[in-house]
Amino acid sequence: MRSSAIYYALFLSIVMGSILGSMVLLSGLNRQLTNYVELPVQLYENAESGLNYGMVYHRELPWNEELRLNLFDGVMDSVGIIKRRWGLFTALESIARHKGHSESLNAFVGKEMEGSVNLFVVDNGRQLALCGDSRLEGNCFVPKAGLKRAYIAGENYSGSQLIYGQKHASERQLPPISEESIKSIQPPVSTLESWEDQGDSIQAEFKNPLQVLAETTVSLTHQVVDGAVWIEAKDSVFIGVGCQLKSTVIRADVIYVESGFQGTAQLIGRKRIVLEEGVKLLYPSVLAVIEDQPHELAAQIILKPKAQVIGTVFMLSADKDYRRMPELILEEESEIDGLAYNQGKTQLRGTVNGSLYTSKFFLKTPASSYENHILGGKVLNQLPEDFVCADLFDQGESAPLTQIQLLR
Amino acid sequence: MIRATTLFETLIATSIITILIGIGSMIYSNIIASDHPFAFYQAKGEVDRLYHELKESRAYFSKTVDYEQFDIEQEVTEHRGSKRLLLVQYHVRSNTKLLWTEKHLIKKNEID
Repeated sequence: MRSSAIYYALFLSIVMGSILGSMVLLSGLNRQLTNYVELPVQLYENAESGLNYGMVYHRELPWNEELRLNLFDGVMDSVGIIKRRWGLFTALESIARHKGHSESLNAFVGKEMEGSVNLFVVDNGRQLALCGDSRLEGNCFVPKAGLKRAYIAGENYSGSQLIYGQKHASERQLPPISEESIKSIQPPVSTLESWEDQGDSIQAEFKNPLQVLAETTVSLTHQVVDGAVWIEAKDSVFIGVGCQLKSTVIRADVIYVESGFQGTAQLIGRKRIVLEEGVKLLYPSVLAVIEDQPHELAAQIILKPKAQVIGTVFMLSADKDYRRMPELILEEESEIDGLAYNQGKTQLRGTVNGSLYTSKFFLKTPASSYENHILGGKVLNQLPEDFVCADLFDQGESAPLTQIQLLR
Repeated sequence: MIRATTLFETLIATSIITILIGIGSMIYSNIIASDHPFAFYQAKGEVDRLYHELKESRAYFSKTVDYEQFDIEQEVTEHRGSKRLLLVQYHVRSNTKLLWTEKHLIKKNEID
């Protein structure tokens, strides 16, 4: 048997070399794995910071163009922000990038309602009359002629006071909204498809929206419509109780929603929208009638008993013809939670929990019709503090926007 | 027959082993230093908790929180002079050594 220290040493060096090599290899792999896990987290946090930046500096962001910036003047904080319209919502997309990796966040943003107006009725020189169990809460801007109790359809005003909150004098006009930008709302640059080619499931991501066009009518009876889908019909759209809508925009002359339907959507009519009994449009939904041109009949939004909209409701008229003002009709036990802005007249027999802006009230009973009368209608101030609605108002100051909904 | 090692061989072998031990300890210490200590992962969880708490409570204050193995300095400043956008930085230190800094931009919501 031969023995030599140098052989032992060489053997030992090979063993130690292997062990050290494995350690280096494992450490490298571990570092790569850590980067693989941590980088997306870091990019997500940067994208979130980008969204916050966009909400504060939204006025400085161009529409439909990416603004690139370094958030913290560092190496790993490059973010691109894009401002788009999705129906009546402002949508922000924030994309954080680093060495070929990217994470993006999409969100609908709007205006927080805290401390705002609960009721604004244009001062047309007439008193506002309350009957039955009507109730006005919060900051109420009413005509200078004031309020009175009235007796209609066998019902006296039952409240102990006329306003449960602060009374203010209203103006002769509604607060202005961004009318031009709202009237010019168009579907985003998107893939175009025909309604006839659609199956039972219509889905699209906000990175690549889908516009579905119909020549006349659309009947949504059982379909699942999810994500960035914009359905445009020239005539009318029927939304059945069996269909599922999520973030969908639907625009048509007339929109009819069947009793019992529930979902989130932006329904934009040109003439008329009817929500049948028990329909629930969940947060964040929009119900709007925007007249593109004067029509023979007044534009209407009708909420039948127990119908509910959580979000934003508004009506814009094509002209200032007082003979055919848009009509917002809330029947008994119907409810709007959020913001309702109506350039026309409102028949309030249900509840608006949040803010109601209207040119005047009207009331039709089997016996007669009345102006500036409310029978059993309620304007409540019971929304959560951080409730956010679509950004409608013209704001002189650049108030920051707030997130309505995060979309991945 | 067992062959005896010469003094020369013994010297060479000793040198090789000494060099190996040197390289080995250098690599080992480098690897240990480059990896995140356990405190790093603990601190990361705490930073997430502090940031969530700050957003919920809308308490936009700078403060330092001491833990057993590390401390976290929460620094809240205006972002490029904006009163509505805040830069929230978390500096995590262990034995005065800066482990890492995490930065967020947050929209300032006024407290009613």
